[in-house]
Amino acid sequence: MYIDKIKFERTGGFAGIRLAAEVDMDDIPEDQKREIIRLIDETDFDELPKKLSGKMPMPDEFVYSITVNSRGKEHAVLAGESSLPNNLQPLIEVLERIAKIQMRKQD
Amino acid sequence: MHTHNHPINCIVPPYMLEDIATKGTKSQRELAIRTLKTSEQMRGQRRALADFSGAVSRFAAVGGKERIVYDAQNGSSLPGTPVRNEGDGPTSDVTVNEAYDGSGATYDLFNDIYNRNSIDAKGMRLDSTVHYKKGYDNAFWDGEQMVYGDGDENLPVSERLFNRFTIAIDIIGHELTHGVTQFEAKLVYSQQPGALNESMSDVFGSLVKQRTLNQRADEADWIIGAGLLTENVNGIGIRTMKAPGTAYDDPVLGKDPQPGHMKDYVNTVSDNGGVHINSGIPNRAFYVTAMELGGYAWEKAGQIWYVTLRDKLGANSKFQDCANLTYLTASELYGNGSLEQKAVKKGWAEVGLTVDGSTPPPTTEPGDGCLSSLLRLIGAAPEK
Repeated sequence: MYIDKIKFERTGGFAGIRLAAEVDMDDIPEDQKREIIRLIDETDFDELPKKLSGKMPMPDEFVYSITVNSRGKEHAVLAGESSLPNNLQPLIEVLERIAKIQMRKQD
Repeated sequence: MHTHNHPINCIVPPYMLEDIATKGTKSQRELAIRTLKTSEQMRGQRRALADFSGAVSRFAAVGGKERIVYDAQNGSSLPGTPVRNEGDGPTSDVTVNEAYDGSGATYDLFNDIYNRNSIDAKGMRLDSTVHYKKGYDNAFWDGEQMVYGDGDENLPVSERLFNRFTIAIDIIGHELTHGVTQFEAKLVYSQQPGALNESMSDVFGSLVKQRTLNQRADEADWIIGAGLLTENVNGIGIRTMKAPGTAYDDPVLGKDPQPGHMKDYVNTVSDNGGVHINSGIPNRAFYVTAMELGGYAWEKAGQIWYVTLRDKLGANSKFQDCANLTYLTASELYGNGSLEQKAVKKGWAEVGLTVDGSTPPPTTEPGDGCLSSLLRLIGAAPEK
């Protein structure tokens, strides 16, 4: 799918320290852009419910929020670590990596 | 609210039940057989749930402290490979030893001070998995066991923010207390009940540390997760029960968001409704209570909080309920108008909550513990 922008937030965890990123697809390297689009396509992101909560949250698990903006339309998905489908895991890993780099650049 | 277990499905070991089942009176035999069947079923279900291949379930009643530390070898499957069993000497892996010693110290606090046999009060084995995933900057309780990441071990030293999560003994106590809460008050992990759940974990996590260091309330640092942040971060730890909101203030990690008073309560959808944020409020109430009482915090303040968690709080309890119920517990344990009860009142007042002494008494019946059940079973105590 075509993507303009992705907003990512990780909250909770034992430390409760927020990790966040805003990824403008025009601002990232072409190969990373292709990887992210592929990972999002693999999850049928548009079809995912707004809140994935199959199980009771595990104490101290991370809580993820991913918002994809495509041609002015936004779809946001909220999921705890224990209710995260396997095919979302690689996307989370990429977004966490980007978020950690962005946080360090803010200093 | 707290519900009691099946009369004898507690600490009575299976062999004793088998003995009763063969030698007891007719009604004793029937009850013992029923309990044995239930225990067997539960063990079977739990084993299936945990996909546990060993011969003995971690839930099987055992005599006392029983620990296993597993190594996930940076993978995500749980529990991983067992690397240290109860009674084994230290290994060359400091993380394994910290998980072993920390879970032991937590067991000891609950057992020696609160007379509680492990997490489920029935001798449940304490399982820990270390080296979970790569670059995993977290620790959690998955409903059955503790899980610890190594922090940012996959980044260059100059970029690391987190050390290994077993580094602070209060983190280990924190995770295991989530287990106790799961078996007792069952506080829902969201909004105020979730923040109380978090606070209970910080309270008993800190008490494990204080007891290990033999510190009185005024000697303790009241920091949660001291040593977890690397020297690249400007901070003393993850939270402080003494002064919520001041644990760290860093260009990369931001500022500690914890309030220490109801007027600063944070409304948010993140973090399951701010469970790690608003826990600062009940955390400080405990700190103030413990300081008022002086001496070792695990003795009186800890006892009041423990009994409240075990017998009084329910799944949807809020801060005001916790204030009222700790006040009630203090009166039951130490007397109405006692210094202890006044200290509890002051603790909550400091965070903006006025205790309301008119809370109805708890619904649980006193004296319905395992011992009285067993005594009833063998005819040494009257039937109810």
